[in-house]
Amino acid sequence: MLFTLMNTVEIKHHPGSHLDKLLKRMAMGDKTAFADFYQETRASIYGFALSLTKNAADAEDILQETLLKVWLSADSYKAKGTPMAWVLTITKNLALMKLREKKRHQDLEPEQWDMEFHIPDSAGNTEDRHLLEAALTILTEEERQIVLLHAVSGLKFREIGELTGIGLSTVLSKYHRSLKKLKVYIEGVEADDRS
Amino acid sequence: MTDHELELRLKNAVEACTPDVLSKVMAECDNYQKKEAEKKKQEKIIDISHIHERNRAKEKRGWKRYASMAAMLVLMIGAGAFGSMQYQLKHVVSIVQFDVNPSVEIRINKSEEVVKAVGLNKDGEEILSGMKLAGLDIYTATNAMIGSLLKHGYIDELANSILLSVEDEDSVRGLELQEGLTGEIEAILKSASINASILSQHVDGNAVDQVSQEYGISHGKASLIESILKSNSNYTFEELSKLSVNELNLIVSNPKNQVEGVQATGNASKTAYIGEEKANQIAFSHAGVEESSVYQLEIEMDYEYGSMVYDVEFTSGEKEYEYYIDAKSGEVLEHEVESED
Repeated sequence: MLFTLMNTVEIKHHPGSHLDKLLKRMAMGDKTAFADFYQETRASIYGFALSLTKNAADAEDILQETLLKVWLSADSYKAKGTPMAWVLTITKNLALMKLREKKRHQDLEPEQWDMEFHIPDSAGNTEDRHLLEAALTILTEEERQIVLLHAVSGLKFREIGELTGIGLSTVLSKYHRSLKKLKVYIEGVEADDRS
Repeated sequence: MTDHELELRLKNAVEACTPDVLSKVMAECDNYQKKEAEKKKQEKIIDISHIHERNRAKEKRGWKRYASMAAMLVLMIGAGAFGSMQYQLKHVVSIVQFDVNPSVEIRINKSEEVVKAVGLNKDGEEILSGMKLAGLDIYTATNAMIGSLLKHGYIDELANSILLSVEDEDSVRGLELQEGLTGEIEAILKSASINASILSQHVDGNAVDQVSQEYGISHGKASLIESILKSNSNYTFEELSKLSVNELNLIVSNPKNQVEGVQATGNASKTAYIGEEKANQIAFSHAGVEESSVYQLEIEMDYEYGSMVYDVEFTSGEKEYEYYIDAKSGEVLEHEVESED
C-alpha cells in the first residue's frame, strides 16, 4: 500500500483552461497539442469506457474513436462546461453505440462480456489491478461509472450527475455505497492473505 | 484505508492499463484529413447554388427567398461584414427531421440555430403551429417540439418510437448532432416518465428525394425503409411506406434483420399487440402440443402477409413448427410443420 502511495505523484486534475488552450491549438492543426491532450485525457477516457463496456478491447476502440473525434471536431468545440465533460460525453455516446451494435449483432449476455474483460498482467501494481477488477465486477453499472469518473477523471459530483443523467443526491449515495463495497472487498482479501 | 487512498489506487490501476494508442490515432487522423482534402478538391461548390440544390422540389416557392437573399448579398458587398453575418445566420448546413407520426423538419445554420422549421405532413404542421422556433438553438427547439408531441399525445406507451434523421454534408458534425439530439430527446422523455425508443440515422437527402416524394414520406422515413430493404429483400418499399415509425422500429429490432446505419435506443412499444406469451399459447394450442413438451422456442416480431406478426418457432416431439400469428388479432396467418430428420 505504502509502495503505491509513494510512487504516485498526485496531479491536480486537468484544470479546464489548460485543456481549453490545447483544444484551441488543436483546432489550428497543432499535433503537439494533440499529443499533450492525449496524455492528459487517455486514462479518463479509457476508465470511463471500461466502466460502460466492461470490456478491455471495446474500451480501447472507444478510446481511439473518441480521440479521433475530438481531433476532428476541436474547431467546433464550444465552451459549455469543461472540456473534460465534453470529451467524456463523446466517449459515452460512442460506448452506447457500441453496446447497441453488440446487443443487436451478438446478443451477448452481460455475464459473457465479463469473461472477455481482463487487464494484462504486466500492467502496474498487482493489488491495484485486482482492486480495479473488483470494482468492475462487484459494482453496478452506475456505481462503476460514478467511482471511476470521480477517481480517474476527477469530475465533480455535479458534473458526474450531468454526464450520466443521475440525480446529484443519488450520485453521492451511490458513490459512498460503492466505496464501502470496495473496502469490504479489500478487507476480505487482506483477511484471506492473513489466514 | 481512506476514500482518497482507495481512489488513488483505482486511478493508478486505470492509468497503468490504458493502452497507448497515440500513434494509431495520429495515423487515422492523417488518413481522414487526406480523404477530406481530396473530397474538397472535387466538390468546390458555390454556397448559394448549393443551398439552392438542397432545396427540394416541394419547397420550390422557398427559392425566391434565397434568390432575394443572394441579391441582398450582392448589394451588401460594400457592407461586407454585415452581409456575411446575415449569410451565416441563414445558411443551412444541417437538416434534422423528426418522424413520429407527425413529421417535422428543422433546418439549422452553422451555429446550430434554427433557420426554418416545417411540418412535412398535416400532423407535423399542427405540432409546429403557434411555435416560433427560428433563431433558437436546435436543442431548445427540439425540447419545445418534443414537448408539443407529448402534449398532443403522439408519444405514449402504445407508440413510443421516434425517428431522428440528420442530413449534413459534414459527416462528423452530422454524427455529433445525431448523438447530441438523441441524448436530448432521451432526457426529455425520461423526465416525462416515458420509455421511448429513438432510431437515429444519417441521411443522404438527394439519394432518397425521388422515392420520398413518390410515396409522400419524409427523407428520413424513406432512408430508414431503404436501410431495412438492404438487409431484408422480402419486403417492398410500398408496404413498408405505410407502416408507422413504431412498426418500422419493431422490424429494425428483429435480430434477423441486421439493419445497418441505424442506431437504436430503448425498445419499440409492443403494448398495442397481443404479446409474446399469448402468441405462443395460440401457436401451441393450434399445433396441439403441451407447453411442457416445447423446446427451442423462438419468437420474434416481423412484418409478413401485410401485417405485424409474431413469428413463433419451436420444436416438440420429433417436429419443428413455425407459426405466423397476426400480432393484433391473434389469427394464425400461416404455419408450417416439418419432421426432424
